[in-house]
Amino acid sequence: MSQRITIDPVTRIEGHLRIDCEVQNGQVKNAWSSGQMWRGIEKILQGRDPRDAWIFTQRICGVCTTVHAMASVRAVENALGMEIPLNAQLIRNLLIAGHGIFDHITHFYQLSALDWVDITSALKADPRKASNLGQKLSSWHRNSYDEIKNTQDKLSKFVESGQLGVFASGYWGHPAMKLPPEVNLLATTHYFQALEYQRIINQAVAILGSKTPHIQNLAVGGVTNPVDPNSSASLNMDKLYEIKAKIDEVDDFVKKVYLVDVAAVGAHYPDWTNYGAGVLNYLSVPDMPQDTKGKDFLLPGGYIPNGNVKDFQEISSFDDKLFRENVKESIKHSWYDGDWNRHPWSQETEPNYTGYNESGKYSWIKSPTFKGEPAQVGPLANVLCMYAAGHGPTRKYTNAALDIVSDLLGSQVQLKALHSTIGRHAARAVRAAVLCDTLSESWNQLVENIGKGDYEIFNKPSFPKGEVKGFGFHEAPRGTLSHWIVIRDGKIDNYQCVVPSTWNAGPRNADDKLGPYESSLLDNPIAEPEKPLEALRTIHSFDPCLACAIHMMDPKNEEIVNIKAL
Amino acid sequence: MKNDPQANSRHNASGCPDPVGEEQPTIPRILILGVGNILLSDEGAGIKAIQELQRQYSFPAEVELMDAGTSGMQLLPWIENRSDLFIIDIVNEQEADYGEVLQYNFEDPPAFIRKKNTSHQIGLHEVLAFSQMSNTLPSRIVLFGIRPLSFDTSLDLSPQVQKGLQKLVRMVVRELEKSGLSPTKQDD
Repeated sequence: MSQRITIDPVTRIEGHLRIDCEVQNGQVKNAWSSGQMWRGIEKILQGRDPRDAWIFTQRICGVCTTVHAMASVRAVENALGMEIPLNAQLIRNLLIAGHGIFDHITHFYQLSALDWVDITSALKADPRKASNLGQKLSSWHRNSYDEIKNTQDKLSKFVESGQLGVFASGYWGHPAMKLPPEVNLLATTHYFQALEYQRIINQAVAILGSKTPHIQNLAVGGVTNPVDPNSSASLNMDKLYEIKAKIDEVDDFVKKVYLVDVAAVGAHYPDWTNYGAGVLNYLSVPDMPQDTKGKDFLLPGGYIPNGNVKDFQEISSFDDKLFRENVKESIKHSWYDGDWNRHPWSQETEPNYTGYNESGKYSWIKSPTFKGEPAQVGPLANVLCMYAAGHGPTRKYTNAALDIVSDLLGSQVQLKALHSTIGRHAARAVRAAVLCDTLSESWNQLVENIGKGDYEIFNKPSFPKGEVKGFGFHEAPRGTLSHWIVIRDGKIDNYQCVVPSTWNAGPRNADDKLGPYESSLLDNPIAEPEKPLEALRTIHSFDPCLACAIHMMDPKNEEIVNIKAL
Repeated sequence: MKNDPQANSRHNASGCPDPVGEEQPTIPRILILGVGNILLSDEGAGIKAIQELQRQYSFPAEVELMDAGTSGMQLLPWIENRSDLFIIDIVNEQEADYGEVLQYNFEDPPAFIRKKNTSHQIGLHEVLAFSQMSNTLPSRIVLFGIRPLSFDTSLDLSPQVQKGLQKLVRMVVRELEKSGLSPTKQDD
């Protein structure tokens, strides 16, 4: 018997995504991913000054503002063949790393922990045992009995008052929930603590002149925050030390709490290393440039075909040919006019909504390919590529996470366990730890460079007559982001964004191969079709963020989330 | 357009309210938050309202205005520890005319939060719920809503919403006057 599940929208994501699954004998047999919102930034940008593009692109998404700003200025700089001052690169690197850490912490605790952690079970835990467990797993100073008992009391109050608030959407008591009460309580304690550390990292980013939610201090050619150690109106030593103190606090939380929690949760869900692998071609780009030209990077990136780390191909510069020549997008299954499979520079964006038709067009998202194949992007792709490239901190934190899991399980867990739903969470935690190192290193480099008397922050762009083309990439929290621009006589002629959620959430491609979301759902167990927690686990593990644009208040209490099991 | 349509809000050295910091000045007690997406026509009405308020008035130190775009969790530190939160957004009010402006007073913010559901799952409601868990929720929330007509890809509002926007601005000003915090009309 075949059963149909439609989840529309998928909850606890930052956008609007519809997932359809065909379930047979308690397992997903086929799946379709559909982005339900049209995004036409390209239309708005045509004819505008390329120096302003980033101001508009950061409005594409409420969560990913910084990343679209960054990719945009890089695209224009690439088209003009520009160098940018070292200070500007380093300040951008600090912003990128800070933003990434914020995003990863939020994703694990606030957006997906409730898929794995049963809040109601935490109420039954013995706080003494939970504290002992916490202290056994980590040297974190806030696993004390008092702290954990307070969390439990607070939680009881919420439940007693009937005000579950953010917890109301969890599938409590679902048969797929497996954590012991003490682990649930420990994770819930960290759930609350995470809110504090998110705030701290946001403050660090804000001191750099990037007032949330919209970054303000970028420019094509550099940054606009003046650097001067002796001026109170500039980025000076006081501010830099204020940033450093915040970096250190968050560093501690990420390495002693987040990384450990993910490993502990993973150890209690070992079967979830067998589900959710999906597309095994992994794409990521290098980031954190160390020079003015974008040829030397702190974090490597590249392409891994078929999950084989040994076949890693490096992407090595902002002008990399492998990347430039191998990205294409198909609209065979997307709501645009026609049927083509093109490079971003030669695309047009003509929306043509024709209704939901699984064998025809069923999504606003285009279907991107790298070297003609679907590719998975995101922290897992990034971590595997960095691991393959021999990046020291990546190896260190990956091995640390695998060791914790192995200890708890009593058997050695291999790197290949990462090709899975739970592996995506683990990789994101590893990446957060790597970004903490990056943050400290970028901070040191900036202080050192300013110490040498270099206060340069901006090179003025100049636009030639005729046509120039460029692309800018950025390894964003959700994966490889690229902006592609064609400039004619100093004005934008074409602009395309190939975003991480397009890579992952895209529909079938020109060859009808499934996208990463779709193929990751295959063979997932579904215990209760009307509560498809397992499908949500896999989708949430990608950190979905789609079109990320609509805010609509509904003063009446209307249920918008609709889960249909037919 | 050369500059980002940012709310020219007051903020401390860190650019971000930091209620726990020792040297930080007190944060303004009323936050007026415009939310939405300026790329999708009427979806950006909340942001346009903030810009319009700033163009026409100057505000007392107790009032802060912010263009929040469509951000989620990043808003948490901004919302916390205010006495009043004014939200300007489009509303899904089927009985209203397009461009009609509605004011909702929530003297009981937790009840407002329980009526969850924006189509954005980590939307304002959830951020407010997190603020509630941290005991930092503003004690009063006022929602100024306008019914949208167009979600086209465009930087312009529909004529109906454009017209309603001026009324919305006056309603916000009136609400501030009631709190004894009248903004000053700026000379054009």
